[in-house]
Amino acid sequence: MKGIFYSYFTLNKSYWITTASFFAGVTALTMLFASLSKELEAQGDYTLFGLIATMAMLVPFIPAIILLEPSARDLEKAMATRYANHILAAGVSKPQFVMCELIKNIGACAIGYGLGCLTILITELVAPHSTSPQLYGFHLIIILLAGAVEWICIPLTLKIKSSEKAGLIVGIALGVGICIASGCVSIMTDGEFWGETTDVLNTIVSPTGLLIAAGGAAAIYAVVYLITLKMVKRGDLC
Amino acid sequence: MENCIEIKGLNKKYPQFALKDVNLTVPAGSVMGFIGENGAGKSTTIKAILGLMKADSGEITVLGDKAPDLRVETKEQIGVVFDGLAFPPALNAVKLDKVMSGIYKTWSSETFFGYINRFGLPLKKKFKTFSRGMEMRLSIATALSHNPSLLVLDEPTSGLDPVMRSEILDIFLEFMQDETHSILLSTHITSDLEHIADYITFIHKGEVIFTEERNEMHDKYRVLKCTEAQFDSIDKADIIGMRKTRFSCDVLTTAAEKYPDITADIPSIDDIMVFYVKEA
Repeated sequence: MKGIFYSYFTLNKSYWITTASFFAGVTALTMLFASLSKELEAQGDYTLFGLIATMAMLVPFIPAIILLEPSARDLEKAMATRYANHILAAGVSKPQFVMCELIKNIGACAIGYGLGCLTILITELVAPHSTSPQLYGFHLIIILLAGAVEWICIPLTLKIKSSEKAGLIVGIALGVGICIASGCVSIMTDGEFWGETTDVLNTIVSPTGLLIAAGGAAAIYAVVYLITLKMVKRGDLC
Repeated sequence: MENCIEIKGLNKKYPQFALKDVNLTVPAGSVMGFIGENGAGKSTTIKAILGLMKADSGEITVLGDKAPDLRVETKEQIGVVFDGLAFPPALNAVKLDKVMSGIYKTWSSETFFGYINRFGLPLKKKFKTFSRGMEMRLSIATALSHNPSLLVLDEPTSGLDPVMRSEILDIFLEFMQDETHSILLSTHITSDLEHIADYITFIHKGEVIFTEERNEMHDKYRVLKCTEAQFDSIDKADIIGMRKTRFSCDVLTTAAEKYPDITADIPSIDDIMVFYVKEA
């Protein structure tokens, strides 16, 4: 397994460099947004404050998203070059092969979460009281779900041999799913649900929200792991 | 262990192609040449042996272990060369050594760099700049560098010039100095097999046509050079394949002794393959 990780890190150097650069840029930007949002709040410009505060909340995710990107691409390339066949014919078992993919995903989530927390921490040090402790929980939920979504792309990449198409399919399905779900909630509550939810962060980052996200992500990880293992066992990857 | 590879009744159906009841045995300590035209099923059979696909039916035993779920310890003993380079093109030999030392417990960097040096391959040049011949040399160096007891080689000499092919064949012969070592060698270049193969298996359209001892093939098969009148006198059951030319008719047979009046030539493995394919 060590060899697989070595080639993964060696072959995706550009992603790690991009992540590091984006982390620096994103941290600077978050600090700027946090300071701006404080000023805007004090001035009473709540429209712009809302926009800037949302940006400050979302921008720290960028390094995590970049980190999650190469695993499916790496798998696609491994199939295209038949490197995957070489690995599976060598000293790596099929469960180990799938486990490597899982570790790549979870590792990217963990590092991405760490970088996000670091951004929030640095922002808080530079501009005290500009962030909320709930941001850490919010980050965890979003990264858990982003990791799970990226994990779904792995068996799809195995099936259609293209990580981009897999990402597109998952993205469209997710987008349509969220739109339908939002629409249904809106219709059922006569539009009151969204109106009453003034503090999105409070609603999402509750112990229940965290539990639901963790449970959902764990279920997705387990089911997709089994599907991926079955596909790898069936063979004909390249 | 008597046989290092045993395939019994292997069937695998794809939309455009099927392996039909393939039976193949590679005795330990021998070189099996695996021949057939493009798309005959050689690479698919090799994938099945390596556990890279699940057969619809049949049984495959490799070094005493059942495919497709070969144990890691068994895989460690198999050196593989795929048809074409199966490594990321952005790697170089130095990095590949690090990758492989993390994949094979028995990997020897010293052996690997020895072969890299012997084959005249660059250490730090990316594989994407390699020629076909360089790719094949690299694949062979990798296959030999983790102390395997079985080599499974899919077209290992294609793209190599005659001098390099001869050197590679010498390396395979060196490998076979150990009597417990075995090779399954799939190739188009049947002249390579004349030098090293103990057995030849011929596959055509997903079916094994024959498995023969190479030395026996020389005694068994003959090409009869006949006139039309002589051709008419040959029992049709004795004809394996025929090739008509403008002035004569060539017939592949295993019953040449029944026709002492007809000139008989010893066919090459290529000839035998062509006769079989044309007849089928």
